[in-house]
Amino acid sequence: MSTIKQGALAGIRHGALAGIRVVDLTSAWAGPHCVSLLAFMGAEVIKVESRAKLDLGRFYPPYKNGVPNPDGAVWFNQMHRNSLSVTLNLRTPEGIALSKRLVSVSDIVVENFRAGVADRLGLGYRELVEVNPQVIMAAVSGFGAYGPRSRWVTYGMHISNMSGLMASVGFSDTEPVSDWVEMPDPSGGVAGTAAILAALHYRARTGKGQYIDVSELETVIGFQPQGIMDYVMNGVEQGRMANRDQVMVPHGVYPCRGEDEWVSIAIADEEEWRRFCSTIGRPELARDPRFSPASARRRNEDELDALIADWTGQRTKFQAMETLQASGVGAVAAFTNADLFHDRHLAARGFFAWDEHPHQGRTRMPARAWQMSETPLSLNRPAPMMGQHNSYVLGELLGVSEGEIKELESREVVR
Amino acid sequence: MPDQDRTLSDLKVLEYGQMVSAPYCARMMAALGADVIKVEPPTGDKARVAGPFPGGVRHSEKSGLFLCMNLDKKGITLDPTTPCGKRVFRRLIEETDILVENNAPGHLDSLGLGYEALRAMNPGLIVVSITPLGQSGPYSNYKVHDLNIWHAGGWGYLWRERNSEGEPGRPVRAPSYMASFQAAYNAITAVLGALYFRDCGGSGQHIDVSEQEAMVFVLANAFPVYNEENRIAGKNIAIPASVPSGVLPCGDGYVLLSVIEPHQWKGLAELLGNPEWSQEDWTGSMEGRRLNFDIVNAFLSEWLEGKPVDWVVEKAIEQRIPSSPAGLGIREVVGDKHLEERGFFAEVEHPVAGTLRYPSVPWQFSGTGASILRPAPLLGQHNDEVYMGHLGYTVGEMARLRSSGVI
Repeated sequence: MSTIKQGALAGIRHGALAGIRVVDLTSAWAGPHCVSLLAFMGAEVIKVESRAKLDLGRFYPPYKNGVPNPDGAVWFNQMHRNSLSVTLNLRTPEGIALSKRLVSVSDIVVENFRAGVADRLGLGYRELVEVNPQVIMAAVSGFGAYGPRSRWVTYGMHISNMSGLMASVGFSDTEPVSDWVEMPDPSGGVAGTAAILAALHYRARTGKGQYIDVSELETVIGFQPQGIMDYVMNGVEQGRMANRDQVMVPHGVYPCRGEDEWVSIAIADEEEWRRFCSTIGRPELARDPRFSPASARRRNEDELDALIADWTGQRTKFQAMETLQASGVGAVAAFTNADLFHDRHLAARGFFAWDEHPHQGRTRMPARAWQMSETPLSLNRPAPMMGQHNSYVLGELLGVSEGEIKELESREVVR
Repeated sequence: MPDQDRTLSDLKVLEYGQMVSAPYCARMMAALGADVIKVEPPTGDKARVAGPFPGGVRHSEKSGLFLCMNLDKKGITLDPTTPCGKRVFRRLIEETDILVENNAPGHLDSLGLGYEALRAMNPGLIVVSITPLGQSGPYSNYKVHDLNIWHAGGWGYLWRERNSEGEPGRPVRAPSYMASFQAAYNAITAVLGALYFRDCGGSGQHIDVSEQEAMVFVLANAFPVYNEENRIAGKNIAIPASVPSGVLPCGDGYVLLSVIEPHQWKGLAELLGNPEWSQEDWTGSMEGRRLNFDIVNAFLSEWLEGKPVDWVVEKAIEQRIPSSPAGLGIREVVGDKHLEERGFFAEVEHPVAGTLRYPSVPWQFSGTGASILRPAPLLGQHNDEVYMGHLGYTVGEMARLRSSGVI
């Protein structure tokens, strides 16, 4: 158990990580996602930020009422629930010194600067371990903390691209398809959280902290075992197949009633194929030599897809999903953000929760990424406004007097 | 590095799962030093027939997916649906800290091996169940394949193909098992959080990981744009959230660029030679550039015309603008110098499949090792070691378990 001094705001003590304090030096998405998972599990996460170099999340659209405002960036506010904010200007030596003092009373530090920047600022592991010998420090970056490309600036979309994944999406005759999910960021982020927690267990056992170098690129390459092994074993680069599959057929999205509405259908074997044919009222297709066995369906896949589209096109995507699921066929609507927001399954599982933010009002947001039976994930407080917890962090945790804080503000150390 | 110096080397993990989600979760724990025993049905994990195979020839010990998902584990065979198999499973659970499983909801309960039953035997046990749609809720028993979960997770609308006019085509998926991987990472994170709770004197617990929720949870600002702008993310996304960004044609291919932060825009303008239009007031803010999306893109496309991709990327990186040559393939990835310097791909010798290169895990620890030490297990390879060595079954009992098809 952490022996770190507990402040007044640490009164909320539930969750698996209650009593753990995290210094969050991150910005954008990967790092914030990493620490937000710690916060969901009850850790006290203190975001160190500054108006001198605003976290890009603070100016990323959309904004409450459309007006740009660091405290009203809606996505930022979704991502930083449970966190505290202290404004320290890391371009001043005193801002660095105060950050180090904060590290000295914390368990974990997370940063996602470009490689080399933490060291240059005087916030590298070598410096921090001096003030806190048991500290666990994680650097979550696009390319990792060393290697020839480590100093490149990058965003998630580029990591999707450089991992080879982007090239495998879509059809071979279209231009490469951008990953607007920017999924390497949260993927590298959660990989960081997992690594930090492994180190926390090791510290609980041995008393030793350590430094962890987490690479988003390597996380995402790990998602492509078959593509990589085909190349390693056979020198083959698998081509783009859009929604199609090497084994299953049919395997695609089919247009449904309405504009830009689709249902995904995947059929693994002859038994599923027969069920599908009778459910759509075409049992004769299961005996049609054009469509059975799977190898025949593969040869006639375009014809088959057109035939399926005739059936789906007369239904909404949810009607198609429910009708086919009732017969045990793998069919699921292609969900949009709005569909998910109003979905009865996610609602029944309590996936969304209301958030009440002083600037943003009441907003419904995803409440958790998983469920735990004994230590439920918690939403203790809305995202912090900039510097909202300066007096708690600087005053209560670090013992800086109110007068000194005012003085630090006037010199733009606290900014 | 000796075993006791690895991050999770004091932990015993039992994996009762197939294909990707549970196996990858357990593989990561194995890479961190945990003693992972993989339980396969006597017929083998389905990943053993998934391939790819050397030369395209099917072989249950040579499936690329299986070999990759099961590095560093011990493998045993067991059929827990038989009465005798259930007893053996319970014996294994007594020696286990963490159970990772990805069976259909209710499967373990139906065998009398559900969480409540296991907890009664081993109160410190942490069980993580990974399923496509979670343990509860109206869709939890839906029939789904990876394609269905991808589209159930809402990613299809954000990562979609374009037609030749640049308008959205069908929602499209990325290949492989993206939802399973997202869930595997959530699962290991939740397990290790639960482990810390236990380290501090707490009990074990049951963790419910839904692949769909793992995907939906990271849908970036999709819910914010719906809440604030009532916008369907991915429908009619003519204008990206940041301008300019995305795939742009160059002389010899495509470049991927992202301009979000103010210094990146200034850097790009400088690269373009600070033309008059780039100095107008509206260009200074993201909102301004979004409103004039077509102007920015027209000027930028004109400038990129005929320029080599590599040159554009180099110049952009110099200006600290995130940039890369769009559409790199696996060949480039496996041969990448940067990854080589970091030792990301590791060569491991397997008794049947031979020596192959495998992607490692994405982290390096300063104080503890986390590298690949051994290949995926052959089917039932560690039966004797685990059943006789760890659990104390005799030669005679082993013979009976084998002949009755339990192992």
